[in-house]
Amino acid sequence: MLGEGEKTPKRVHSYGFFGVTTLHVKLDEKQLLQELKKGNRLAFEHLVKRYQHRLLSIACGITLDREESLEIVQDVFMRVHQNIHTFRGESSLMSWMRIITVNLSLNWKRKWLRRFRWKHHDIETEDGGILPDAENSGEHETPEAKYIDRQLEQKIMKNIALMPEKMRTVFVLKTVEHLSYEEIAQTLNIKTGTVRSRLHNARQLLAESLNE
Amino acid sequence: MKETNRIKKDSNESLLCTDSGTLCNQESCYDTMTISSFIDGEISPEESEEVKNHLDNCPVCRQVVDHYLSFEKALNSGIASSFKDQDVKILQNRIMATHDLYAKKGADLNGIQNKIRSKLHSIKDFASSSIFSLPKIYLQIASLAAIIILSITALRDITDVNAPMQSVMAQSSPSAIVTSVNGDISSVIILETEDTHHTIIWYQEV
Repeated sequence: MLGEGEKTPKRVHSYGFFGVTTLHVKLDEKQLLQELKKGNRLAFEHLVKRYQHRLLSIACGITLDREESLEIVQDVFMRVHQNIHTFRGESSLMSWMRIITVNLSLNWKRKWLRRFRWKHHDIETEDGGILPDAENSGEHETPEAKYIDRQLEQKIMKNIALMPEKMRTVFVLKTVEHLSYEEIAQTLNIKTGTVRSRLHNARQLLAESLNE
Repeated sequence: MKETNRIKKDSNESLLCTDSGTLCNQESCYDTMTISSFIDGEISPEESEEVKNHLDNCPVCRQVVDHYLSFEKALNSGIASSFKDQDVKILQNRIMATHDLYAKKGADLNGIQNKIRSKLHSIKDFASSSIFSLPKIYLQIASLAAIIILSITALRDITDVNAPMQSVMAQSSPSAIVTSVNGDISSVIILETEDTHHTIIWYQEV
């Protein structure tokens, strides 16, 4: 199961990263960036551990494809590794990686491949579909309540899958990352008004589908 | 911040609030856009307080909020249940293995780059004392000539083709991906179509 990613890295070490062999230290962003630019492997591993959950959630929310999300996140970290020297630190590392993740998830080449996979395999099937597994969810509920929740969840997820990708991307950034309208607008290079209306439309679309 | 909007409806559209037992007048209900912004914390604190007070007495608006929140729960739950700890661990190992490979390749590349640089220096020295030192205008003329020749050749090829371009564009949608090759600079997808066996899509990363 996905854990909650760290959102606010705590600074527990004021000294340098050299000589530290454990990965349990929490570096602040500036220290981490410095070490990444030096090519420090431990720093990179630290970066992966810190952000992979969150990036995976974003990619998965947009693509709704488990296998592809794993590939995308791997690609994101490789791009970070290759381009870290060009990163000026004007935004946070997470903002930068989030933009890369969104762009890769919306990459048209991947969309083509995804469409083909979806065409030939139902989204509910085991190979890549992200609809929740009945056995894994709602362990503490009564069987009846679990069934109702499961049915509702499935219905919602099906309709999320049917949403236009641009709308879903905004919905995912709000729901998974809890970004403000301003942050979403910056990430996607759109206006805050567009974010507001896309989110509202997404919710209305889902609400209408529940009444069908 | 956006101003809140109340829905204007007939005053006889009142209904009994099941919790409080009081009449809920839908004239005072908020539109769904405002409720959506309220959930996201994108309205002013004063307006937010007003909406909260309204929600305490209005089952209709509260149901809208509950629905909206259930969508978030469903998505987060769907994402969370599609990955196990093991998947994340495997992904991490994969990333680090690729990182190590890139790091090694990078070290190798540095050596090659240094060699190339020294070679380029010697070529530069040679060029500065040869025909390559001709004025830039000749280079521009040569480039222009090459572009014109290539354009003429390409146009002739297009006009020679029996099937017009329109019919190629109008072909039915592809039915399967034959193969996909991903490169560092560009990628290619070969699709199987009904009328022509293969269609190649070339994609260049920007």
